[in-house]
Amino acid sequence: MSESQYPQPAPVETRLVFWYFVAGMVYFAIALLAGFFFSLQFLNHYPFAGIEWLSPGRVRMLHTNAVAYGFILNCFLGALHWVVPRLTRYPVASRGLSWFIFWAVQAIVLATAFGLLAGHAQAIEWGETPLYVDPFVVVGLILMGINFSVPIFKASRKPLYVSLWYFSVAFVWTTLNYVMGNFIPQFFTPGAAGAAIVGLFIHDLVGLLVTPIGWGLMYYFVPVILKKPIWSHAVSLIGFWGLAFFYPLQGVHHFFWSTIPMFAQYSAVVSTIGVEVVVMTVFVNFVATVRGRGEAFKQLPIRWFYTGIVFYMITCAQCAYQALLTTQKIIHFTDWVVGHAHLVMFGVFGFWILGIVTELWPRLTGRPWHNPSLNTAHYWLSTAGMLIMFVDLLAAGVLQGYLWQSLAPWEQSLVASVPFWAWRTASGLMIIAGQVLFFYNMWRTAAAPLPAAETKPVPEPVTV
Amino acid sequence: MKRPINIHRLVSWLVVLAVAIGGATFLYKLVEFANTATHEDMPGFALVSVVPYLTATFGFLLLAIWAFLRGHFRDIEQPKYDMLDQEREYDLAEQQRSHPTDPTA
Repeated sequence: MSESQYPQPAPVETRLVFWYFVAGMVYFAIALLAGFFFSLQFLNHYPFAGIEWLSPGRVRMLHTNAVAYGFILNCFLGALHWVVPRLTRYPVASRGLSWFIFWAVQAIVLATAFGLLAGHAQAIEWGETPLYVDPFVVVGLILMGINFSVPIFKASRKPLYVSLWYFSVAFVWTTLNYVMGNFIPQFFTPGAAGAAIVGLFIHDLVGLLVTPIGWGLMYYFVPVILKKPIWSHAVSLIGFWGLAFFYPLQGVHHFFWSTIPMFAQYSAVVSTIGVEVVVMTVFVNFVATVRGRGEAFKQLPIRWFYTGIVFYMITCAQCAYQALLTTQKIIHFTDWVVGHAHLVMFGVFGFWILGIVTELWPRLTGRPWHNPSLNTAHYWLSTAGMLIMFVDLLAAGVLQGYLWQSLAPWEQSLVASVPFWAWRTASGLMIIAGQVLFFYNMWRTAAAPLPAAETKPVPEPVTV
Repeated sequence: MKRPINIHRLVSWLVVLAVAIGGATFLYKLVEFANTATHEDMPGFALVSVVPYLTATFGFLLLAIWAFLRGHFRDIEQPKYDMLDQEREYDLAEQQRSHPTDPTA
């Protein structure tokens, strides 16, 4: 029997996945601390008062950028280095290029962090990365696209699995979006036109980078862990193409009641509601996949994934509701939006990442979890903290919106908001406590001696 | 004698009516867009906000056509089974390895 007749291991660079996850968790810790300190500003207990480079405005940008580019991007890249070679049976274009990109990402995130603290932020929300770092980001995105496109293109001789469709476009979308959002408003279209572009950039960063990679990963990990194919591959493709055609024009809904022409605002309302149809197809597909498998929720990764999926449905329902001009009159500029952003970035994509790391960490380290109970506590603390923060900020937003609309004195809305901000800090502490347990468990697992080789059970046959 | 209502015909006409109304409103928006795009107070504003969207959408249209011509939508459910079969092979291959590599080393 020739060697090629034996099952071949997946061409995955596990060390790279491991270090991407480590880097992601380091930035996650920084983001959590920055968020916690910033929340203290609202309670008049900011610990760095008077220190310019640690002023609350700069620390807030550190918080949001560390989450998006430090935590989520690093962990997504790690997960992609696991999933893409396994789905395509081909390694990424170049192992050397992969490591170069890894170090480039860390350098860019660090340069961004120092640039923000030094006061060099660009006046673009989620695109505060200093202007002198932006060209390197664009080059990095192109290299990432090339590195992952090569195996995907080789695999496209056969019909592609839906995850690969999502991954294949994420970096193309994001490169175009990054150039548009960071350079056009800066150099070519100041004022209202620039604001419209920034709106597109913010929303497309979530919808065309984080969302496609996130869903692509879910379409891989959920069936693999359940050992059951997704309910309908056709429906999953409807979700993909629907995202492609409906999503990009939604960004203007960030600037309702502004000087942007009303036809663009109305179009944003229609496309935001239209994308809900797409979201429903994805949601139904995942619910139908797990139907009849209630015991699967005993597996922590599945619990993380499906909690994130339910949160995703909530955020998208919120999106459609928020994207009505009537609702915007109340919630614009309030803490409602902050609650929505936290649920999207942590409750959905953060939860999916934590589920993926929970699943892969023992396989990457070759060691079982040091203490599985800590992971359970991590899940419950994170979920409870997230829910409390979300409901609290929603309620605060409604209160603030109605107070402003009634033309009550500004100070009155501040005084009324303080209890909500205290609950926000408390719920943040719950989330931080959960992550501390997880970081400790990750470290102890990786530091434990390798167990003696043992025979793993043969996986169950695929059930349809 | 009273003719029975043909439900399929009725639904078809309703769809045509909906598309016609939708198309008319879309046409109105296009005219409004063209007027705004050439308006002197906001030069290029509408073009800048809509052109990136149209460009991206055109790219997707080409991608969809390419996928269709390559037969990606022919046996549309097969990839979900192939993916799990591959995973089972990887699991078997991993099982054959005596010692996992230590990425922390």
